[in-house]
Amino acid sequence: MTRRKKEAAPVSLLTSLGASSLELEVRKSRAGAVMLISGVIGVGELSDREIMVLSHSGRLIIRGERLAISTLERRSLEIYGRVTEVVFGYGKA
Amino acid sequence: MVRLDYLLFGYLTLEISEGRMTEALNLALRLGIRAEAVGSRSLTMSYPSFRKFRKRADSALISSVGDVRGSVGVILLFKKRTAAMIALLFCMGLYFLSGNLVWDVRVSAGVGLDEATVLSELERAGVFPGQLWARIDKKHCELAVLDSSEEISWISINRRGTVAYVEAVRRVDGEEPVAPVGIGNIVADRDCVIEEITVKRGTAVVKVGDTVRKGELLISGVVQTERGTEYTHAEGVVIGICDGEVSYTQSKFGTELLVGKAELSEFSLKIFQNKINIINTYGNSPEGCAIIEDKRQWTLFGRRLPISSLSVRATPITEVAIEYSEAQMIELAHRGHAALLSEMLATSSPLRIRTSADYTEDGYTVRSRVVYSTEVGEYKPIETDMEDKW
Repeated sequence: MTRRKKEAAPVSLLTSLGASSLELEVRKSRAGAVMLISGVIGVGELSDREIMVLSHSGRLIIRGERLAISTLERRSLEIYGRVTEVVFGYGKA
Repeated sequence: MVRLDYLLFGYLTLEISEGRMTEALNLALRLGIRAEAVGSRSLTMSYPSFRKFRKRADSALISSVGDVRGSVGVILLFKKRTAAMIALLFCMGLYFLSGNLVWDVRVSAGVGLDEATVLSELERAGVFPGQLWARIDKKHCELAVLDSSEEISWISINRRGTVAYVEAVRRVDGEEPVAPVGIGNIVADRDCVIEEITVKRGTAVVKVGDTVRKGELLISGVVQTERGTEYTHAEGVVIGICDGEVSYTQSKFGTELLVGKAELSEFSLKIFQNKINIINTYGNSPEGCAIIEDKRQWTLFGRRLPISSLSVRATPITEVAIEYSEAQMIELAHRGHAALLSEMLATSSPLRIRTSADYTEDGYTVRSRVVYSTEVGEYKPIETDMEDKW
């Protein structure tokens, strides 16, 4: 297995070590909110009313209306739409 | 709104198989690529990201792939149309270059200044149609023109689009008064009767009404002062009444110039600074030819193009002997006599003119006796070792 060093902009130490760090940033937008979530390991359920995001720390359930998702570099996600509820849960299932 | 990197690198939309969107998003997350879920079945990503995604995704994950859009899409579209691609690149290059070249130089020259002179000075300074704008340093060119030209006192070069607008003003040298040097007298340059005498410097030796001969002293440079006799540069205006004769004889026989048909000997086009010879006979023009050069600047809808044409035509001219009729001979004689009379009276005021005409052995003669008044003094220096003590 070959290891390739990736050139990237400065990254949080915790993230680069793969540590269990879930970060959430929310901005207001015209359609509701834009949530930037870092430290993501996967996406569980996906629909326009509910998105489940999995991380080492636990799982995040975002509920709302007209939700859309974009994956970003460095294990980050962007979720747009009218977010009404954010629920944090333990475990990945 | 499409992202800039999508436009530059190209982007496309994939259709993901039913129920496998989550798997596709997880794959994108693991690969670290940016992908946007559009609805529950579509995923939009850049073309380079898609190539990475396609390598790792299993064949059943992607149900269909849309057309590549953005600049990469255009390139792929033209991949099989090489000629169209080359033509497009050529047009883009031409468009880019055309905006970076000087297409025209328009000169607004001041009073007394020739536009051609300004254009030639500008060409020497590096401002001419076809020159790259990047090579023109406005201040440097203006200074270069002022240094090299003695006729231009002020110049301004401005750029508007692809045209250089130039304004130039002519240098006007003021005349400085020069004091007269040396010593001398004013003498008569012809026989006359003195009508008026005005002395600026010196001593008048004639008075109004005196008859003088050519060379006679009118104003002397010798001045009597308190310190004794001094010599100076005589100055003054002496008007005298003179008489003269003007005569013109027209012969019955003369010559006439016959102009032949003009033949084109050279035709060339000049595009920017490049001259292209279309026709050039490369021959010496025969003697007795008039060479007519016609330079034309091409325009399009009133705008000057950087294209001009030059045509050179040789017109043969031959001299033939002719015999005038009576009427022609008389008319030519009077015309010639009038020209001579005008020349004589150009700087004089005629008092009386008596004209007569007659047939002579040589042809037809028109004669006038003229009495006129004119300035009759001319300066004559005195050769001496003594300085001007005035």
